[in-house]
Amino acid sequence: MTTPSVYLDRVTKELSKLPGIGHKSASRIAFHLLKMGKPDVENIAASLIDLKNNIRACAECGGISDSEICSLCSDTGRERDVLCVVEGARDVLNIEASGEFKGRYHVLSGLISPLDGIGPEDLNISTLVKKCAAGGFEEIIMALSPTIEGDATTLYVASLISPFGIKVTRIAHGLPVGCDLEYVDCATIAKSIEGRVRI
Amino acid sequence: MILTNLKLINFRNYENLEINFSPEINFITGDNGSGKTNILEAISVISNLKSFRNINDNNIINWNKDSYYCSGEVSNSEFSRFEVGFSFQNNKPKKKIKIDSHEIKKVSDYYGKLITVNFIPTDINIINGSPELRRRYFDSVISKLYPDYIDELNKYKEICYSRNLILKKIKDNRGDLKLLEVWNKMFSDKASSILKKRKSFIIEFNKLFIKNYLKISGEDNSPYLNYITTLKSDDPDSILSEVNNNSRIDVRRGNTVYGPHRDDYIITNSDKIAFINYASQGQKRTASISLKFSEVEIIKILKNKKCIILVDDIFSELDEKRRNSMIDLLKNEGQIIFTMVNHFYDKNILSNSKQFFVNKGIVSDGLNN
Repeated sequence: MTTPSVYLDRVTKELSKLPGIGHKSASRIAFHLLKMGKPDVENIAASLIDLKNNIRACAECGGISDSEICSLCSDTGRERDVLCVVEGARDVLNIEASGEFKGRYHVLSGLISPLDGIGPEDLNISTLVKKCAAGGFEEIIMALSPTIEGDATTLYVASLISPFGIKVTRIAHGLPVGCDLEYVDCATIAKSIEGRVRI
Repeated sequence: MILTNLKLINFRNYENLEINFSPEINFITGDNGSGKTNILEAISVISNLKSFRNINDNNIINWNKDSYYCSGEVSNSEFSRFEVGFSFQNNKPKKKIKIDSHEIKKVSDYYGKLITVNFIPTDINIINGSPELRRRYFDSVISKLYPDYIDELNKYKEICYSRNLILKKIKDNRGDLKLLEVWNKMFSDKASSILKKRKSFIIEFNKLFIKNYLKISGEDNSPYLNYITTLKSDDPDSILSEVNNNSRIDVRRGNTVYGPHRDDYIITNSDKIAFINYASQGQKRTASISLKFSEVEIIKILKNKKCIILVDDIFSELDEKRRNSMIDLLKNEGQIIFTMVNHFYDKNILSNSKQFFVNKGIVSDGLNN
């Protein structure tokens, strides 16, 4: 196939490396960029470079941060005795969006998965244990996905933390809010019956 | 459940085939190697997403083609159209399954909705063969009854696999004992639920098996099935302490030595003597047929559905009397599709049946009725 521009080809090829973007979408975006004004395209390019240059892992929680310590960890208004352990930085955004949690976070940057060759030493677990050893926490909330890897990581972290006498809890398993019982799979229904609450 | 129509494209020796079945009895006759069993195999693929010949999908594809497709129209059922397509895309195998034109992503959402039971010559291996064949057979029956069981088995396998990787690391002094404890706990919970399901299933299944064996054999006593577990208990806490105690053996072998993946179903008489040690070839055949009859019945009882019965060439071993009595036993249990080399002559049975003749990938029907 002969193409009119190697520059267009290059942009299409680079964009199709992104998640959820195939060759067709990449080509569409490339043509759109071509049509856009130069300042707008420069803004996009600069914002991408800035993203890569300026974001780092927060020294405190392991989440994403623009400075040494992220805005959530340095916020003095947040409860200091509850810590929520999550898999990735995106989970922090999701839990923050719920507005339900007022404590601080700890990001593991993955889950234990022997099948993928990921062990505890590859995750941000040792800093969590140090934090807990230093004291000051009443409760650690494990907010990991209810998969085999998530459950294993939860159990592992709990076994390391419980010797410090800190309460370790896990977020509930069960029905999504507003769902129709008819469409829920049996494993989820079984979990929600197991975890039923008194009213 | 009645299979009314079957369509095959590039499936084994059929480039393009469409068959309309009788709701009662169907006979498929033809010479050796003409492709009789391939039709049953296709029905079993639509039902179980796997060939009863236990081979990869790429072997099912017609020569020189890169995909196969099969679909079945079903009546007397909650769903009416089942489709299975398989192809290679960028050298990767991909299977697409649909029910009533909706694509299904999870095998457990598909499995158990179109239920078939196969009577095939190799059934005798369930009696004679390795424990793995028996586990596989009973797991497939339980999965037909409880589709969630497939998910549980897959999770159990994944947990075992992960645990074995950790055991091997510990054996090489690179492992984390705390991590092993975690996997012991995960293992115990899953093993417990699989053991409980298998145990309660085998109690129900045994009643049917004994009844059917007595009926088919005409003997006075029937052997029965024993589920032999390698773990002492099915309670998750007891399993956990057992697994913790066994961890040293597991580490030495780099493998999970005890668990549902090592269990067996052994047929014995009332004196606990193993069936395969005293049974004749005929008794073994009777036992394997009894297993399949019991499968048909337990589906009828627990799912309140009549399944589709596929019978592959087991008549060649039976005399005419046994042949007729077997058809008699089966014909009220659901739609039946037989394959056989010889034509069938019994006029009483032929009257409400349909005959198909297979010759080199061409199927013609009903001429001699």
